[in-house]
Amino acid sequence: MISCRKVKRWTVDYLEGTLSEKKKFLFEEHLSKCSRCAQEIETLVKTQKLVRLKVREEMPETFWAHYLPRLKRRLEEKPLPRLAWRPVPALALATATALVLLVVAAISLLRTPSLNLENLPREVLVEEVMASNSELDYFIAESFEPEEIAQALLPREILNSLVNNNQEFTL
Amino acid sequence: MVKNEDTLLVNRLKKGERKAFDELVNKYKKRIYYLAYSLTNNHADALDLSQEAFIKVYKSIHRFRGRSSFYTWLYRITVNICLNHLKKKAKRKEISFDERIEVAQVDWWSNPKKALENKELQENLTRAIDSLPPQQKTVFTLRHLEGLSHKEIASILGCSIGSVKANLFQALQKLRNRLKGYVEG
Repeated sequence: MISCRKVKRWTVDYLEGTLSEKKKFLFEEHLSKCSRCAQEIETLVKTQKLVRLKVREEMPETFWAHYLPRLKRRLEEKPLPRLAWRPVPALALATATALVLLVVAAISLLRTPSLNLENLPREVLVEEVMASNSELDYFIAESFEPEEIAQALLPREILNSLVNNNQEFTL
Repeated sequence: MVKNEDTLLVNRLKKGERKAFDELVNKYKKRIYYLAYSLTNNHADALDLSQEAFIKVYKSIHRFRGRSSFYTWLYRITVNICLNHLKKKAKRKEISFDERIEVAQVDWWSNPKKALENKELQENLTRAIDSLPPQQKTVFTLRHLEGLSHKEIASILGCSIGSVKANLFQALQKLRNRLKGYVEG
């Protein structure tokens, strides 16, 4: 007798009537001896018959009359215009770089105080920056000038107060 | 005959003859629309997706080499478009496949005509098929509602005949579980 597993594998062909005579005989022989498989197949046969009762809702002729004209309208719709730079990657890259530079320049203009830090004693700047930023060593290692470090790391208020409190050095 | 007719139309379309496209659309629009409808269970989606399939045919006809028949290619395009749509939809809405549909105990087998006219039965069948996972639903639809062979379905979906049969078996089992009220007792 064939196994229950084989019955499962042959079920679709059995339900569709495409099982060979020999396989069909073996299949039905199994069903006659295995009530579990017999019940499984019985319910599947009923399910298949049931779903065949499904009726398709037909669309009216007016719908079909408008189908092609509607499709043609869709086809004739102009595709969305491509951005001019899209086919030229180099131009796109240049545009993006220029935009980034513009944004960076704008931000630094907004953040940078119009203060003359060069006149401030370096030790004042370094002390202030070291007190407020532990990453200073890194920046020094990168050979930045203390003025640059202060500009980059210190908030505008602190820079203002530094300049105001050290007026004597600039005079 | 159908294949030769399609080949002629495809060749004319490749040469830029728009009328050939119209003829192909008119020939297949119902089958493609109802296929999309069977898969989406929504008329607006079926219209939109079936037309999308024809637009894709129009735009990529030069890539059709004739290795399969035209309608297999057209079905493949439609099924892919619908499957993508169903996958997106499935992400938005989780469906329980184990839910059982409760039904009134009526012996439909003795009166199939009554079954065809019964709105509740029709709605339950639609709901049950609609609840299948996209791949099983597609295989089931192509086999039982479109009447395609296992070989044709395998060609459309790019899978083996064994995979088609496995999907059909699983789909039928799920439908049986959902429609227990009709098939048991």
